Amino acid sequence: MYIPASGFDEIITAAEGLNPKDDEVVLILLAEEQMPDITTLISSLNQRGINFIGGIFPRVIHGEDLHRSGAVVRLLPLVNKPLLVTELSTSTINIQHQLSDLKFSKGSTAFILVDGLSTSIHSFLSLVFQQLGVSVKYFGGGAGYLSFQQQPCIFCPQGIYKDAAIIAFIDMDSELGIRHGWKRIAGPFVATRSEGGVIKELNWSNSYDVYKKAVEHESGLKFDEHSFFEIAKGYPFGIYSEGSEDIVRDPFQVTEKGEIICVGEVPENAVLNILKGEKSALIDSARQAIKDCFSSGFNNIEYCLVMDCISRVLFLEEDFKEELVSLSREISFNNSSVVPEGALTIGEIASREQGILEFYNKTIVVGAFHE
Amino acid sequence: MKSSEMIDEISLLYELSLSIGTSLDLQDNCDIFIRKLLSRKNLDFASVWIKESALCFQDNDNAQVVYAYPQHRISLTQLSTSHPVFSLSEKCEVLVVNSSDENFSQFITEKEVFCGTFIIIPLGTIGILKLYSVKEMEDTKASRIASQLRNILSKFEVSLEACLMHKRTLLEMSEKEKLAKELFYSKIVAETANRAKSEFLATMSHELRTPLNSVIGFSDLMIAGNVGELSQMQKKFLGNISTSGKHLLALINNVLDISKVEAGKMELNCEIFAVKETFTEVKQLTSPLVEKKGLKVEFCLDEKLANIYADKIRFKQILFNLASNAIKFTPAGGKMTISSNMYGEMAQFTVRDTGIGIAEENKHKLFKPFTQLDSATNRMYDGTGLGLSLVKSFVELHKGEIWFESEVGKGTAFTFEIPLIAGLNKEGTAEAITEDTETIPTKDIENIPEPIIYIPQIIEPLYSSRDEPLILVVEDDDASRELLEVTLTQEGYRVVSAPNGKEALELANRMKPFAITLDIMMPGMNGWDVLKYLKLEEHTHNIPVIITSMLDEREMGVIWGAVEHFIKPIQKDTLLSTLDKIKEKAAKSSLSVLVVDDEKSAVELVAAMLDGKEFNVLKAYGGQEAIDLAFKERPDLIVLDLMMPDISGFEVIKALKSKPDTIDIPIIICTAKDLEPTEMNTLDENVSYIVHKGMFNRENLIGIIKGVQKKTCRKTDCYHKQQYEHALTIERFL
Repeated sequence: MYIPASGFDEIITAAEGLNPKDDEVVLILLAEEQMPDITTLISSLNQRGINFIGGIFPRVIHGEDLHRSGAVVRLLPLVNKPLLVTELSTSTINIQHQLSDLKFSKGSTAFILVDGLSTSIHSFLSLVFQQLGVSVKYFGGGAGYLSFQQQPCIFCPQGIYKDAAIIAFIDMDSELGIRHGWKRIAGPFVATRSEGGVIKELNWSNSYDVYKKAVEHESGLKFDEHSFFEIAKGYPFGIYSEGSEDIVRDPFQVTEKGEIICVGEVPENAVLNILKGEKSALIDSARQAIKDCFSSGFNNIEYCLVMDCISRVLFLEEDFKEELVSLSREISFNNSSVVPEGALTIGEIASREQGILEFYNKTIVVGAFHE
Repeated sequence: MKSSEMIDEISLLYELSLSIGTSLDLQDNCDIFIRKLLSRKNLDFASVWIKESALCFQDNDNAQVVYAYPQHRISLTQLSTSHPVFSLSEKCEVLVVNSSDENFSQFITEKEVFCGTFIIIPLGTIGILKLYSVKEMEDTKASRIASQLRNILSKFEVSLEACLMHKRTLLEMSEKEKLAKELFYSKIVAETANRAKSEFLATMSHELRTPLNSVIGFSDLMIAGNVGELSQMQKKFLGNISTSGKHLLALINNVLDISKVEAGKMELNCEIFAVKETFTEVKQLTSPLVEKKGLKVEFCLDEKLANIYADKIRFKQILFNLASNAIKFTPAGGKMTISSNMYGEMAQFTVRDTGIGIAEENKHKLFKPFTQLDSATNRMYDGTGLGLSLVKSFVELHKGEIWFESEVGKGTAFTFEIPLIAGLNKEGTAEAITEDTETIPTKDIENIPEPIIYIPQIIEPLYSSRDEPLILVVEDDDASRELLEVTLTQEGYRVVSAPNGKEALELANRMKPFAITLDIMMPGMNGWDVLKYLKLEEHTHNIPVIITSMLDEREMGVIWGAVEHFIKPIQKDTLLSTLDKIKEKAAKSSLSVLVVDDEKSAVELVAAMLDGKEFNVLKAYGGQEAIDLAFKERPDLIVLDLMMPDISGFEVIKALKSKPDTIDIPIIICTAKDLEPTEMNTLDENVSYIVHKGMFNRENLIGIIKGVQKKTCRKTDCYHKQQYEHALTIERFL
């Protein structure tokens, strides 16, 4: 449910109204504008003995609407207690034992919220996947603020954190749809020097020079006349993945040295293409993602959670509404009455088929939860 | 195929090939490559299996999973190489198995695999790479993947071998480091244990020798009749007590020597010396036994082997022990021969006897410590069972060898050889060698030019009876000399004068004056040199010397043994008073000896040994008491124990040697302690003689005291070394 009010009383009332049991958790997706005082919110929820997890996002989604303020609140059944991991980038992640001790019934989903600007998301997800493998499905997204300034954005009964992640192990199976709709327009380029999400060299040359030349050539726009992100939001990188869409990496900043910073890791020597978004293709990709969820034949979908990249909104702008309409229509088309809920994220998390867990950019991931 | 697809594939292979070999760590190397492979190829699982023969050189038919992604899927971690995953895949370049195949289940070694496709590719001869896709693949696609990866996987295999080699190297290094650490700690533990053992032995030797000192000492005094006449029976019993005590003492000494050898603490003090000297000494030491048994003894010295380079004390001990054994096991009327022989670069010595011989079955026991050949022998022949073991150890310490030949009833010949050192003048005479090793002071004396022979003029007092004390006045200034001559003759002394050092030495040596007044600042040989040589020379060292100098160098004078030091101009009364004191002292016939020991019985024993008119014994039962008494009485000599509670003998020496008044009092150490080399060095510099408790009798002690009295001025390292060696010789052969 969506709680439009900015005060925390309404959120607490809504959470209490869900009457969470010991093996349930209240998921709170908070929009970054007009937020209640988080510390007071956490304290009040703790006083009432309500188990919860949450994140702060640039926008939240409910149905066909996008909200700058308010909260999406949802009760989720748990198979294991949520696991909080702090200091992702500054200390060695040591959760192997905690993960290996977990037991799962068939058909569980790990719902992951992570600080979208943490520099160690890739290592963290890789470690989780090594330990849990395909015993669960994975779904989630990166929390954070539209300013792209790293601030505390992950919260739970222990407090609010930045550079952290929380995993809720949901006692429900899920069908996942992962789509972006971005198409190649130039490439290949080799990331001949990179570190984490920073591309230092492309084709053995300054990465910005190479990117700028290619994008200016394709777009007709000049980087000198616009901010970097204003143009780059429409021209992300794609990493080749055989048999599926390229994995998108979203360039959001350029350093004085001409190094391009992306959300998500770009491995050294990765072969990249520059992608371009077409409005119709992007909107259609949202529909495709819902279609993928229903393609396995499950009709008893109870929830539909959506993690949609903030940069799609920044690219589609007013047309983003059409993407949300497209989602709802496809759900109705599949004879389901669930209302899609979720948030605009800084990076999206999902596992492909039964396979690899990936961190995506500029992508919409849909989780259709069922028994 | 579209060109864009081709570009994608080539790009993928480029990226994959560059991700191989980025680390020498097996896990990292696999992780970087496999994760990229799975991500780009859209595959769901991969595992790397390596045969144990390649992994850890184990000669078996198993293989292990060394890497898997995601790890969670692993079900089996070890497989036999006869498993179909290996046996079938090794027969081809690639093995593709789909869930639609009948034998699909045979290939499942992972969790939660129900359908899909396995692609198994051999990694050379070391293992396999197993890929899995949840979606079933067409054979053609799977084969294409395998073909695309063929060359890359060859590289991957090589990188894995490098990782394995690296791992083994690290392991070996780590084991070596571990071993080195263990050795280091073992060494510390061993050294600590060894130190503890040495300390224990030193303490034990002290504790054992101290009472034995009294047992042997008092017994010998009583046997010698110092406490009155004894009956034959009493003499016999006391003799038994003394002999048993000495036997026990010898045993303790041998045990200590063996312990030192075992602990690696036995240090040789090698030097060049004449073999003849040692033969003579051994002959002297064994003669009482030889005579007692009526044996014939022959010493055959090879003239070519005049000198050897060895530890003189240990060499003597070797020969003496072998000779003692020969005498012990040779019946009356038999013969013992000790011979030397040059054998190549070795000096060879043989001790041969015509004794009982050694039975074949006993020969292997011969050099083992605490072993005597049989109980019957043990009863018949006295011995500690340590002598031959020590002999062998000493020979080996000299880098030599020892062996023997024996026939029961005919006799035994022990031969040992030690290396000659390069450059040693084998044919040089013993005397020549001795000259080379003489002490520095002696050499200095030899450097003094031949004295001028002249008839000295003795100035006598009025009405001289010619038996007045003679004073030698050494003074280069005529006026000063005349002043002294007049002053002294007026006071009833005879005077003889010398204007320089050389004449002074000659006169002192020839005329043995009662006292000498000695000027310091003289041309040529100055007064200090004259004093030094006077005190070094046996005939002059007892002559009291009074320094007459322009400078206040009292301490220097005291150090070199002057009795008084006057600054010119000399006060007549003071000079005469000093001469009076000298006369008084000379009049005293007894020598004052301060005996210091915390053991009352030890003090009493020495006091009893020195009983008589010759010595005036002062007694102190502790370090502080000794220091106080020494300062107060200034005894002529101190017999000092080392191990005393509160203030040890070492501290007493330090206290006495730090003050001019007591610095020149000769000290004889009488201890039960087995001395460490560092302790020996300390003592070498400060004491005149070291004797071990239980190792001396009355005659020895008096001889030592008189010897020290005569030579107290010869305070050189060489002198002390000689003294200690002499003491040790007495101890070892008593």
